[in-house]
Amino acid sequence: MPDHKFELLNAYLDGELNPQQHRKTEAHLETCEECRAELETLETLSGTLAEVPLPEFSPPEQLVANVALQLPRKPLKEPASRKWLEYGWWLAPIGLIATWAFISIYTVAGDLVGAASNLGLVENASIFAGNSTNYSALLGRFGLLDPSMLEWLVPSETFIRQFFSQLIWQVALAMLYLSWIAIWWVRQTRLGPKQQFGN
Amino acid sequence: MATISPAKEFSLITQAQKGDRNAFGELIRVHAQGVQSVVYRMCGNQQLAEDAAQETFIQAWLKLPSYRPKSSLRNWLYRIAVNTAIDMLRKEKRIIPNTIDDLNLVDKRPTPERSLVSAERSEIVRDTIIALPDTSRAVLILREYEDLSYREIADTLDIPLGTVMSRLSYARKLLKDKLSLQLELHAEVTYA
Repeated sequence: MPDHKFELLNAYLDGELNPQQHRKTEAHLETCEECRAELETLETLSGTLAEVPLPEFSPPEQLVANVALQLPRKPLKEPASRKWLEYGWWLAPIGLIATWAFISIYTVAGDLVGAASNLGLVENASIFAGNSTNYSALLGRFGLLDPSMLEWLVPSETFIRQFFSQLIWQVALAMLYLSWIAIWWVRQTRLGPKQQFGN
Repeated sequence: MATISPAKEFSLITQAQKGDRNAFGELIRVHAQGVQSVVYRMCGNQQLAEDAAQETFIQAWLKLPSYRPKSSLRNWLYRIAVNTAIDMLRKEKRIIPNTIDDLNLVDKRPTPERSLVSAERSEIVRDTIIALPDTSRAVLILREYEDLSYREIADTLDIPLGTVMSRLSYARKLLKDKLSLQLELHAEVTYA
């Protein structure tokens, strides 16, 4: 007994199946009596619905006149909230890029100032210096780590912490930016690439 | 139905958005029939449909500044029409179906008796459609009477394509079940 395709019959009737699905459904209908009967019922139903007539409405001129009587003088202005939402939407990627640029410049500047400080070219580099606790150094201070280990543990910890903090914010910004592009793309796809008007 | 080129319609929309009532009047003339059809199919009552069509165009005028010509004006108006019809039905708190006498139907049948039977059948079908849930009814009407594609219905009602398919399938199933029973009963009474 063939598998029925009842769920596809509505779309088949409405011409909404893709060519491959259409061919498959057509082939199935040749062999399945129950699906053929169901399709026939749907066609009859469409015919029955089409029989229901429309009454004779007032002519468009009267509708135009009636509407005109009730219209305010001018269309309302676009709601301010919507306008700000629109501005916010387009400002979001600019903000993300600006944030990325700012943090990058700050980091590079910090590295340069740090290097200059190490060379004795700058005296007070504290504004760029991180003052977070280095746990390896702390453990070494309590004698829990061997000094030979500390030689490579302290710079390794500093490097790993800097690397991950850089990685995390860059990935976070990239994800936000990609999400914005994805939403923009979905909106464009849903609304259609061309600006079309009624047919 | 009055037709208009997309370029002309775009020009009328732009003018109407600036407050040009004549341009808006032209747009009403173009879309009056479609909107009246949608609201009537949604309400099932001529007077209510006339009011709903009027209200649809008033709402359209008020919302026109926020209309973006990315989707068709017709579908945008249909969306307002569906919502207006549902709101009006809720306000009425009941459905007011036409009596057969109220329907100013074109008599295409050779005899008055056959015409009456046809009008009664139409009334049964129309009332069965109106008894459908609002969401399914809107999808069914846009598909069956306005011949919108699934994608256009999805855009008009702002629902996913899959939801269009499931609601349409559900509406047709309900109608099929209810109508077969109603029309059988009608046939028994008529031809007994």
